[in-house]
Amino acid sequence: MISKKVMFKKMLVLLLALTFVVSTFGCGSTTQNGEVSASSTADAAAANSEGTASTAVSDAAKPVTLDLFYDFSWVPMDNFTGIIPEEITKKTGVTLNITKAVDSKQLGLMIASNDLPELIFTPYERNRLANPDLCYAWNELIDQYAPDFKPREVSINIAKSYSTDDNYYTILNLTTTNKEWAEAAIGAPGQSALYFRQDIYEALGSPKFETVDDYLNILAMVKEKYPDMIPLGMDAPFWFFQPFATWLGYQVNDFIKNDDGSVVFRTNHEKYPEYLKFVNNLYRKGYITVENYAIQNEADSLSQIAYSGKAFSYVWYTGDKPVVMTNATKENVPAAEWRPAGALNTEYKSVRTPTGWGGVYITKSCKNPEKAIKFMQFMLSDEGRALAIWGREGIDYTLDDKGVPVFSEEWLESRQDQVAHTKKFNPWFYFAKTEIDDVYANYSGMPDYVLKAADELKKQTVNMPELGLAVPNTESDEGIILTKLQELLKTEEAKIFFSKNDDEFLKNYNALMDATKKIGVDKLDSYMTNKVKEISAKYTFD
Amino acid sequence: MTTDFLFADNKKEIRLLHPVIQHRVTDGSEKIVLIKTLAKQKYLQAFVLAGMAYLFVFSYLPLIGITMAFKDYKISMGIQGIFSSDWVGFKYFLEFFNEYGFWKLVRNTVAISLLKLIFSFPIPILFAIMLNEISFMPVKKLVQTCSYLPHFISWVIISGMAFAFFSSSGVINSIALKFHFINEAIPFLTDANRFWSLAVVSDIWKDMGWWAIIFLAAIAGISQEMYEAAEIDGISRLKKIWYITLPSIKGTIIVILILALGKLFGGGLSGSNFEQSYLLGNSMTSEKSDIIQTYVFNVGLAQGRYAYATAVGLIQSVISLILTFGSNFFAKKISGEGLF
Repeated sequence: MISKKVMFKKMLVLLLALTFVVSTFGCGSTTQNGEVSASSTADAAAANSEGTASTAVSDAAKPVTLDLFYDFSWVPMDNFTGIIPEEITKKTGVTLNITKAVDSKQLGLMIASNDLPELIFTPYERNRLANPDLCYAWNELIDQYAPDFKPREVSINIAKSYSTDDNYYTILNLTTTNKEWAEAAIGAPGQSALYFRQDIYEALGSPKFETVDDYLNILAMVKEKYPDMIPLGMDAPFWFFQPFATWLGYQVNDFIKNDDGSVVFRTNHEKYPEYLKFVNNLYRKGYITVENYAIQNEADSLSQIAYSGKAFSYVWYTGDKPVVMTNATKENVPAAEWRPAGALNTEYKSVRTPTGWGGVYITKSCKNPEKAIKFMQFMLSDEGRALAIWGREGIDYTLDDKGVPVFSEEWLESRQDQVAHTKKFNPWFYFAKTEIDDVYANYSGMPDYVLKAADELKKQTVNMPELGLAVPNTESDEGIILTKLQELLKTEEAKIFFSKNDDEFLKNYNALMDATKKIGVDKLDSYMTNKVKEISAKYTFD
Repeated sequence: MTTDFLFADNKKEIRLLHPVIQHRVTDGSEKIVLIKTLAKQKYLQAFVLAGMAYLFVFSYLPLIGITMAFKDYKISMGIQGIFSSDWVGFKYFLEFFNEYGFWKLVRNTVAISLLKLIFSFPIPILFAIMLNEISFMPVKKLVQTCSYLPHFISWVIISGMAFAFFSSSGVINSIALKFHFINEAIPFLTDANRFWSLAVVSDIWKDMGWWAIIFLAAIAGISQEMYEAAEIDGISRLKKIWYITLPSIKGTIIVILILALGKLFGGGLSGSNFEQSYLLGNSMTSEKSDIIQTYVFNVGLAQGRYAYATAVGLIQSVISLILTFGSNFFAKKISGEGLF
């Protein structure tokens, strides 16, 4: 006779066992494309780490394998194979066992469960990883194992700003100083730029085109002579109007530093109403369309406005865009030629707030921190940085007299197909590339008109990393205020841009300003002013 | 047993369908009988267990997460943070009530949902009745197939189709401009005042045919003898619908209505509010398209404020629960029929 209690227990055990099986199969599988989920990552990392340590001890000639969590889920790469990785292994004696992130939240959960592989390459969680309980401080490893390793000061300062103990736990890539930009042979810092159809401009009689007012006059002529065209088309929304903002003395960054050192959220800047009126004027005169701004289809269909020949001018990213746009538009309009507009007002600077991007962290799980820091020493060297993204010198590229890479035919041909390029070269281990390394690769071989416009843009650009570094953590009270303001602007600013008359404009503007006050913009301004002063006093970024 | 009333007048059916109940009624040693019965049905019970495990894992376990709505939880705390974080009471609920745009969110959620209930709910019933009146089978089948196919198109595709049809350079505006019906393109997709109509019409187009299937099935179950008797009495077609068809499918209508009310704030039958607001809405229509669900999505997933998003989502869930129980109560009071 089985008691009711025992029966109940058995049923419960059966139910729990079934639940466990379902959970296990549901949460720990390897996906078809080789990505491994969080739970299995830990086991694989542990197993490999142990194997690595014993292998390293038993056979010093064999490359040491380090486990690396690669936190860029969108990168079409999931292993350390190909010409560049093989070359890196030859130079460093290190090979990497890659686990690619499934999504941007995975690392946060791994940290929360203290389940970290030996190395982490990530753009996220900078504050949490700058923690002596989780990661080795780079400066301590350098002192102990690589005293001749001297990372760039700006990178050290940026990294230190995320830690609380004056150590630095990574060196972020894509950190470039104003001085380095000034000395760059070609290219411009990445931002939005204005392009226009040269063929139509010439058909209009090549009117004067040196200032913003000249540009507006040309738009009026386009509107009159080509009524079916969109005088100004745009791509992704967050930098739609950046070039115009700069020429008006305003910035579309979240925060703007005033001359007196105070920092304000951009709605509190004195030029904000002027900027809004400028954009509203573009709309009311029929130069921009609501749909182009408001309806965000995939980028391909947006750029169709330019490619189809419907737009006279277009705001897009710097780089090879005029060449890309010309080639694509020529398929529909054979005479089409896109050109960059250059600087229409040099009185003001365009401010960027770069704080670097991804960095490698050496965690306390690392069995061979000496090898890890020496590996990073190579990757941060000029040779390592170039190898990681340009390939082998003398084979895949040669440097011209300005120090700019000129790529081989094989490289250029392979680069047309990202998947094939990745399979063959695998240029995704850019642990330490600078913005200039990137820009050299992108601008190499560009026509003179692109290089000239980039040079003008570069002179008009200034970097203020302190503004980016001071941005509050999203989980803090100020961070919550900031995200609320950002969300508010997404919708309320559009209403102001596309107000049909002055009354509507004023009403929408006042509503926006009231809402920002209610959300707490003044508290945020006060926080940012103090934080930027604190960071500026502590570190230099030039 | 709660199921007794279903078979109150038929003990034979109880024996056939509910051996456990039957044994309990007739035999005192119910434990042994229970085990024997379960052993006999072990394969069938395995299916039940799988279903229960599914419900437990995906419907009941996540309920623990509701505690987040009352705690100072941050995603960086990991899963265990749900239990270890500090209690904050109704802080997030109060924050939502004082939020900029709170009334806009509530107004849009309620308005879109009610409009859908008023227009999207009765139309499948009328459509089913109309289909039933078609006697030429090929046409009936063609109409029915064409009308329910849109149900299988995802809202992502529909948003793309909406752009192709309703944008200023889309099919509708192009034709209207070409034939001079209008002087300038109608901003169907960027005019906030048109969003509610767009949401309701597209919802009806997508799911009218699908839900009509259920009502058609109910109509098919009506005894033909009643119609024949009515015809002998010389009753008109409309009166047959009014006096025979509609009363006969009343039960089905009530059950579907209660389900629709339970999902009212999700968009009623089709539950399409989120998809429509997220995919058809844009910065120009936000005044009329932002709803509680998209707000929860934004603050939860996009901004990472899980605790706050849970609190906001909980408010909507509680209202939906009240609506379900309330509508069921009133349905039973008024018509004597209910879902439970």
